[in-house]
Amino acid sequence: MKIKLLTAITATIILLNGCDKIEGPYGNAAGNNQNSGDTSETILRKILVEDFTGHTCGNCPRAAESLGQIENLYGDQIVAIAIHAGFFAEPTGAFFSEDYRTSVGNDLDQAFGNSAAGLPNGLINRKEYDGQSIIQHTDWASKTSEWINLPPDLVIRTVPQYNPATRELEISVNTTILQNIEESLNIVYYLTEDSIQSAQKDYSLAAQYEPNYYHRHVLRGSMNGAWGNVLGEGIGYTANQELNSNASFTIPSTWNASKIAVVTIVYKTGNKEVIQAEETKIQ
Amino acid sequence: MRTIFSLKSEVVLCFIFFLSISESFAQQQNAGELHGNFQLDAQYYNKDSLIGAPVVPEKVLTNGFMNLWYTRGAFSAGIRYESYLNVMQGFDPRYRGTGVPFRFASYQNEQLEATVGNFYEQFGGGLILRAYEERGLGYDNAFEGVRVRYQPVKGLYLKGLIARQRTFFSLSPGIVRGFDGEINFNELISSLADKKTAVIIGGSIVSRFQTDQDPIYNLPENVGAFEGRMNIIRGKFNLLAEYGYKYNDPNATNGFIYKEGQALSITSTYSTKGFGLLLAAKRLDNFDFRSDRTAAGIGANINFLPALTRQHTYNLPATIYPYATQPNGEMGFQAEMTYKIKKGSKLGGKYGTEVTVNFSGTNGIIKRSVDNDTLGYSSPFLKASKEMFFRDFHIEIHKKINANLKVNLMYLNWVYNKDVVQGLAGFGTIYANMGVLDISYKLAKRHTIRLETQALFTKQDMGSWAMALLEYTFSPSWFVAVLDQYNYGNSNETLRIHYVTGNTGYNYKGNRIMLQYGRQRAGIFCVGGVCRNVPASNGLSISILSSF
Repeated sequence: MKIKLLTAITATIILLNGCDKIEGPYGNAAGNNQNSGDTSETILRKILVEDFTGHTCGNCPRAAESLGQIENLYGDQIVAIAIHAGFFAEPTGAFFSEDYRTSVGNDLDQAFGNSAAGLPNGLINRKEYDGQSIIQHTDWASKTSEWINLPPDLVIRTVPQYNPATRELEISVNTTILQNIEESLNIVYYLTEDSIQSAQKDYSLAAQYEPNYYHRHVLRGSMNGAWGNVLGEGIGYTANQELNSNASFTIPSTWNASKIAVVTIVYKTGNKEVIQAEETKIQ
Repeated sequence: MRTIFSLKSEVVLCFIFFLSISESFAQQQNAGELHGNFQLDAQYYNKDSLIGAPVVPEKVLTNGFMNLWYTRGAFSAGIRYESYLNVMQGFDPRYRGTGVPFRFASYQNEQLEATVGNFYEQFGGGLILRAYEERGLGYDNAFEGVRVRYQPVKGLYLKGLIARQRTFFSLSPGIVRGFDGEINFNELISSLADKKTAVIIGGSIVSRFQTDQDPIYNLPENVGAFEGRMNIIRGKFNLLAEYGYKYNDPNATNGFIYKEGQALSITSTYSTKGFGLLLAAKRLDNFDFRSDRTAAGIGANINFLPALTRQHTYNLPATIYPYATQPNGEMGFQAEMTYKIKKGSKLGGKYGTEVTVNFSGTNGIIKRSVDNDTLGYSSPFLKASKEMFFRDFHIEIHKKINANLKVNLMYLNWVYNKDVVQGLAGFGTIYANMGVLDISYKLAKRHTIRLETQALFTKQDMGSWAMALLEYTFSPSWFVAVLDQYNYGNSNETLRIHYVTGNTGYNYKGNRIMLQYGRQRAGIFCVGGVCRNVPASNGLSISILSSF
């Protein structure tokens, strides 16, 4: 009786406990970037990856590297924003005197709690996964992959007009609904500046920091606030409905206009989940 | 996705269940027992730019909880409600809002105990599995699932569980399956019952399942670990050894390497009247094990790897440079001797003198590069690297001078690798000497006054500190204390700050109320590649505890 019992227990243990020994290859085959080399307009879902960071955060370059890997894999389907916020983004000392914090970024940081949770971390389409919207950079690729092949709900077409003499930027945005949507949506036009060079703390370097680090996709501000406006009337949308909007902004002289992009996002007003994003350079 | 917030209906049902139990049994003699406890901590935050305390928009932050445990015969059930409105500074901000993260029901008879819902568990020393709660740190990795404990015969103990783990107000994505068996030979075999030597052996296996959706890496979805242990007790001698092995587990903490992990812990003690000796050694290599491979910081830990060093309670040694285990690789030892100098001898005096000498140290392990860097590194098992992580040498003398006067004296010499322990860079290694003098004097029956002075001397980091505490206790109800920590040795003169706090507390039966006013230090802490600034604070805090 006892032997039978022990056999049954042993069998149960073997069933319950598993282990996968990976002998290689450790990497997956090349990504499924369907859009590469295609010149005609293919409407795809684009995914907003927000990297919360700071120039004195010594582990934050690891998150930027993760983001770079995802961009390599999925190309234009990734729309990235780096939000400098919290303690590690404060200007300090001679090396880290730049201040990349913005009131828009601070509002987002306050709302989602990113910097308080410890940096680096980020948001993937601002979606809550198992009750958590804050996602560690090591999980960005997995979370992004969940979205990548979903058909888009709508398409955003942003046409910028930039006057270098006056530094005035005007954008006209056409949003075309592709499938019926029953809830209210918001639209926001963020501004990012790419490849700003200044110091970044990096614990992986012998010197502990890189004096000429390229800060990518830095959030500079917004043309309509942190949370934007309601898209259309906000009472649901029908397929093929087109909504047009526009906004204007004067680019400050300290920003490098050739590196400025408008990042337009559309999100669900209720749970703040982003359903489409588009990045358009102004020049 | 199921979250705890969506479980409100279950909670309501749970309450109705409780009520119906108590009502239906109210007429009967055995209605069971309901016990519990309640705690509320609240702080009002002042502005204090000198110590860098951030402005708290809410002004007041509170953490609170209540446990309600019902038992009736073999049946028990319970819930814990938690509230963070909003979470106090210094705690992980992922504790947001309110909820019932802990609820369970359990039934136990002679051989079998079955639990559904939330539970805490430990296999052996916890090398591959331990769930526990440490409220002061905001740590809770409780399981949620099913557990069975079974004792088929005397001396044989079996445990099995399948569960997910709590991470703040949600569950971590991995599923943990575990089994543990333990044999106590002296209980199992009746002829061994009276033998002087007792032998207990045990072993467990734990496996985590987490889907692999990573488009870049081919990750193992099932990660297995096993552990074996042996405890031999003979008279005053006790030897406990535990070894753990973990299969390839690329995760955020180890930098996604596919290397196996190993852990070994050996502790031996000898104790007799007036004398005790402890010798312990530990090696960890790539042994961070979590129910979410992407987790960083605290949270989702399946196993428990305590630091092999004494846990100090005096303020400066406990809080300024405390060592934290480095699960990615460390090798350490600890030796402790306690000796009581006999009463009546020259050094022992009327009451005897207790002396404790402790030395512990931890270094890194050797990591040699391998051809395939996806495998991380190779490491010789019995060799430590020359990189020192931590040393703690201390002597403590405890002496009762007369019926009213007690003295505790302590000297500590520390080496602390701040970069490694706190996950920072550029701070280097700190060498510190510390001294503690703790004098307690009984003024009259139930009236005691205690003076504690401490000093930490170092040339590195923030420089030297001094601390003094004066405490008056009117037992069993009242105490009042004033504490000052002074960073007098800071090389930046504006940071030579006094952190003064005043405390008072009142106990009555099962209730305790404490008030504190003052300043707390700031710090940056990094765990698993994520850094968090725990800001300084200045304000009034109140703590209410009650148990019933």
